[in-house]
Amino acid sequence: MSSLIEAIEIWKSFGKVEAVRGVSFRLEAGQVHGLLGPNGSGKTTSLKCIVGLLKPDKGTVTIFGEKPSANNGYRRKLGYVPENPSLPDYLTVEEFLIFSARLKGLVGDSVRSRVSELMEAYALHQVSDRLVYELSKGVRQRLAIAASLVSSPTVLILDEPFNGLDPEAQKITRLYINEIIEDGGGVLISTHLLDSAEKICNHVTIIVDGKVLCSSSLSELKSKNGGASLEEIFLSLIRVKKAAN
Amino acid sequence: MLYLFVLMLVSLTLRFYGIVTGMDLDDFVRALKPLATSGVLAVGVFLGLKGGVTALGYEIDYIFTSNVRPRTYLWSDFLFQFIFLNVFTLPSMLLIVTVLTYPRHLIHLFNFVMIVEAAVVSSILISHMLGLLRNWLGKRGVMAVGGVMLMLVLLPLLDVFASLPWVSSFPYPTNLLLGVTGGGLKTSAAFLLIGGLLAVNLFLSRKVEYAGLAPILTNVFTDPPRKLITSFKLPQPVARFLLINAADRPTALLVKAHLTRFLRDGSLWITAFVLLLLVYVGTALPRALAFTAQPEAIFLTIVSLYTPMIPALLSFNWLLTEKHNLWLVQLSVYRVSSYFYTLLIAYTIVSLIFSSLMVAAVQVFGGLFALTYLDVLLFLCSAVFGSFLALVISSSIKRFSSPFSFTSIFIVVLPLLGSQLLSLPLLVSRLFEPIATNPPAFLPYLVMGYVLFALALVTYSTRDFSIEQAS
Repeated sequence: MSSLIEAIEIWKSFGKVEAVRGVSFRLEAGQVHGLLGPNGSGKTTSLKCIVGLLKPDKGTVTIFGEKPSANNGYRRKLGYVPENPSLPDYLTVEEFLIFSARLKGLVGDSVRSRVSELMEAYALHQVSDRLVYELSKGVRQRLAIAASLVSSPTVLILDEPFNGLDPEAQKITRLYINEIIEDGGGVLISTHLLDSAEKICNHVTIIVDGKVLCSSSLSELKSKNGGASLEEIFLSLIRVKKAAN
Repeated sequence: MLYLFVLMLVSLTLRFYGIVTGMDLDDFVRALKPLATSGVLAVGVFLGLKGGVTALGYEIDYIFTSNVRPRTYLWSDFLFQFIFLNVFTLPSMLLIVTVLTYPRHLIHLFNFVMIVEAAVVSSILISHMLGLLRNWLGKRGVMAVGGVMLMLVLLPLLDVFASLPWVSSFPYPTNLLLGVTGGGLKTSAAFLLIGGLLAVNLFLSRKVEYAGLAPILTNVFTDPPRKLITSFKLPQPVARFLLINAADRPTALLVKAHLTRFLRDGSLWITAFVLLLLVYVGTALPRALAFTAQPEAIFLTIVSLYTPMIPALLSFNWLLTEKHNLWLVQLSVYRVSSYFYTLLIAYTIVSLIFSSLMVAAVQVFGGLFALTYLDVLLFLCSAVFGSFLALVISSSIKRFSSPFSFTSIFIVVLPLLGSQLLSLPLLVSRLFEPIATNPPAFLPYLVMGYVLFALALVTYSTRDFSIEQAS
């Protein structure tokens, strides 16, 4: 069975800056895969290359076994929340969720029922008539996550999802992540919040300076490092990397 | 440079009209002086109503919370606005005057420099005064004062617009400033006005609370109309029509989303305001220059100049408020080209509605005249060509950081010029067919063929838009 996502040797530069330098990893069914790394390590660029918002200079990305450019079909099964998501400020919360559902190809009654379920779960029904631009940062983030879940995706890609998210919304998001995993999907999370990553992820890839430093299951990584916490492992790997430079 | 080039073309056209109609060149200057002065002062009142002080986000966060004295900031802003307004007004005014009055331009140039400078200084003082008044009168009080000031500033144009010479005898700000080079009492009156405004500013700036000053540099284009959203209610049938619902077909869904954005993000209000100003000024100048065939001339100006400007202004706001939301479409099951195709439809709808309203106003207030098939075709083509070019240009711009950037001139001017070029066969036919003694019988077929070909080409090109074109 092929991986849900496979990135092979992807490179991406912006002018003279090489943001991603040969990153490779896989997202398998049942994985909550954490993409970890310090600020500016290339996590966001890697994710944008994977979802198809950026075209890698070199390397290949496949989602559900196909290249993103091949057809649009995979997009219905893909949920994505960018870092600091830009949302249409001119729509109300409910309009935006309906709009997102329609953009993902949902039609008819399934739109209404899914939208009201997500509004209830993320406590958005209280602000359903408010325009997006009137929302606080936390509520916007809740809305962005709800919108990414609207098509019940098989693969969910979250870029720093817990920024500004209250504990209640974090818990709800974890429940939805579990649901995706139980249904045979996978979740890719980019974060630098190692506590959260340790709680949610069962697989991690650490990126530093645009290169993969290590990629393994969390349990394997911990056992190799004498049961140390993810934070301790991460910091020691960074120290070793800096010393090697 | 392009901006100046366009103005030079406009000036040359006016001069050509002047020669044809046998006008004295000085008449141009007489009409331009109050137009320029009132225009600059109106900008001051408009900015004043929006907050009066230019500030960027980081200035609000770092300078307004630092120990920089409010008056220091106000003075620095005065200098900034002085440079900014001069860059936009002075070269253009000098160019127009030179083209219109050559070889007697030197006498007029000195006059114009003095008048424009007096107007710029007064405009900034008015803008700051209204901004500072917020601390004293609150927002509603400032709106009332600003409304009165706007009337006082624009009333002198009645003389230009409707030939009412008695208006010029009143001491309106524009009339006082026009006397700055008149010598004696006239010059003293102009300086008295500027001195008075300065004194009021100094008095008002004793009480400066940053909380009372609305920053305007970025939100003047988008934010104020947004505030209308909560209070402005659409008529029920329109609201029902625009409601995004689960049963919409993809094209209808996206067109509705675009139209909703125009209404809610301020695009439509800004466009309406700019057009109103343009129609006012645009109809004032031809009247002042005593052009013949008034309604047709105004109609053609509206159709060929203002109609393509509507999508250009809308695309300006698309860059500011919507382009960064494209990721939603890029990751949707729809093709990005569908998004742009529906944007073309939305631009065309708005252009046709706005232009129809303007044409109806010309018919009612300017005098009835029968529209020919060429008028209708020109009308349709200007809307579609303008929309298409606005789309091409705005989606090709990689970086657009500020509405005051040089790029913004291209966004507005290129669709306008391009649309006129594409409509040229129609425009030429429209201008010369009525005066031709024996117009060819196949002309309508030829014109129709051109229109169909051009529209098909535009539609086809839009369907080929890709992500790369917009990213």
